[in-house]
Amino acid sequence: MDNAAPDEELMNRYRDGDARAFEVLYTRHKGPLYRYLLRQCGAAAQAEELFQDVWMKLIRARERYEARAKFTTYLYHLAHNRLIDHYRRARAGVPISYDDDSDDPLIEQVADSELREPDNELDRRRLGQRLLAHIAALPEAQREAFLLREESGLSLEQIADVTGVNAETAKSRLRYALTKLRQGLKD
Amino acid sequence: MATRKPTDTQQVDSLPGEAEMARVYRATAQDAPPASLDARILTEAQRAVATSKARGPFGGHWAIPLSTAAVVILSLGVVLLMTKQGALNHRAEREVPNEYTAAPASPDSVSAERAVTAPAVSPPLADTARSDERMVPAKAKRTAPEPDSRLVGLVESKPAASAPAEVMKKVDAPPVAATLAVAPKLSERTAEERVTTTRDAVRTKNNLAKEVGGMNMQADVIAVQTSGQPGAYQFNVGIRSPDKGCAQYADWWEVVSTDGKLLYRRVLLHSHVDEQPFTRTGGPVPIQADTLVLVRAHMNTGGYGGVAFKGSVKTGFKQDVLGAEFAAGLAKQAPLPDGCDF
Repeated sequence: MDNAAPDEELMNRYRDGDARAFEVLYTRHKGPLYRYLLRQCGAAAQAEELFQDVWMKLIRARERYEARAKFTTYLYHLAHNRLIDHYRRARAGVPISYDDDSDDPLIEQVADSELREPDNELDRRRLGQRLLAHIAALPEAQREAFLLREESGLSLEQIADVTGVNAETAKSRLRYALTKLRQGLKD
Repeated sequence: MATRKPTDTQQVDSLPGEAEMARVYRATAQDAPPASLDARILTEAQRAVATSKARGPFGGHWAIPLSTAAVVILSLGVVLLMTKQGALNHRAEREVPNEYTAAPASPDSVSAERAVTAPAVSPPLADTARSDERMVPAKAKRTAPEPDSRLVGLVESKPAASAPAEVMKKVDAPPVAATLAVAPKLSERTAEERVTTTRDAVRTKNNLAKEVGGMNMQADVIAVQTSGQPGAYQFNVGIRSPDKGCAQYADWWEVVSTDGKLLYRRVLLHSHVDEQPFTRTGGPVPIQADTLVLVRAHMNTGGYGGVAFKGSVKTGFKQDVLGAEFAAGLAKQAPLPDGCDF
């Protein structure tokens, strides 16, 4: 059954000429990848452009695809590289948060306290919107770690692999992100 | 809707507070790419596979090893033939009396020489293939993008304006349209003729001021389609532009009111050298169904002045002769490109 097939098998089948396999793969990953790019760019038009570029790159490189690693890692590798390339060409350059991980004070005490769950739909929605605002305010590298985790379900090692840092740095970025988000929601 | 993996954040390396943050995030973040973008990518994926199949079983990842093997075998054959011929000639020289060595070569010996020298001066098989590629216009060498059937469609049936003149001259047959995977239908040809006519009218109106070497230096809008709701329409805009990279590329398309006010601008992040014509979605455009608007594209070098489209969501869009001077001041109005990726 296509819908239950692993990503790597689907990509192999697409490489060998099965367009239906690509459709399943695309449907599975389009939302998370789009949201990752959207939150990293902040503008829908830019995110759509980068999103299309990433898939086009994957389509063009299909004949060289070999399932050496998890497909998700491969896909987000392409996306991360495209994003960094985009940052590099923009006037502002690559955000400094990609080089600046250790001197951000970690607010440890917030992590242990429970987040109060809203008891009605309206409050839940408000909480969600506040969370999105705080995600947008995160430094890019920390936001990326959070999104790679939440959207694509990557492990810390895979996040490190995708973003080209060691596992400790990836973990540190994710911890900073989570702590800041929790702090933001409690204020 | 996109699939998420609810158990992924409960892995062994999960961090404090992660699960509840994930719960709130996942309940809120539901953005998805527009359906038109889905369709474009899926169409491209199918087209790529169809092109691979059309190349046959020896295309794709076997093409390079096979062509290499063919060159090696051919080269060996030529060497063997030359060695053998050399040995025969050497023996003939020894057997022929001296008085005959200065005599004109016999027809047989001439043809024998040709047989030996001809392969040596001909390019090897792989070179021949490359040479043929060079003779095909850049546009035809690329796989032609499948036209989006949902667009008010025009199929590219002429060589790209940006193709070098000397390359184009080498092509004696087949024409570009014949080498594309999809031959244009009669109605599409008529549409293409309309574009050409409109482009000519635009050039005349602009006094050919923006043309260099007879090549169009403007970006033409070739198709417009809309979707969505009043007050927030999405626009799919097809563009053909003489992109050469960041130094010369279509850097945005925009929707403008008939009195010259900017309603929406879609800034393009990069050039589209390898993707012509191309389509980009944008919006929301704050107009009503019957609002008459203009859709036009802009080049970073040539500015405005290409073929525009005029119409409304209700009536549809048609090509329009719009002078380069129309609302030219919008070129300095934000949003403007923040660099060019490639």
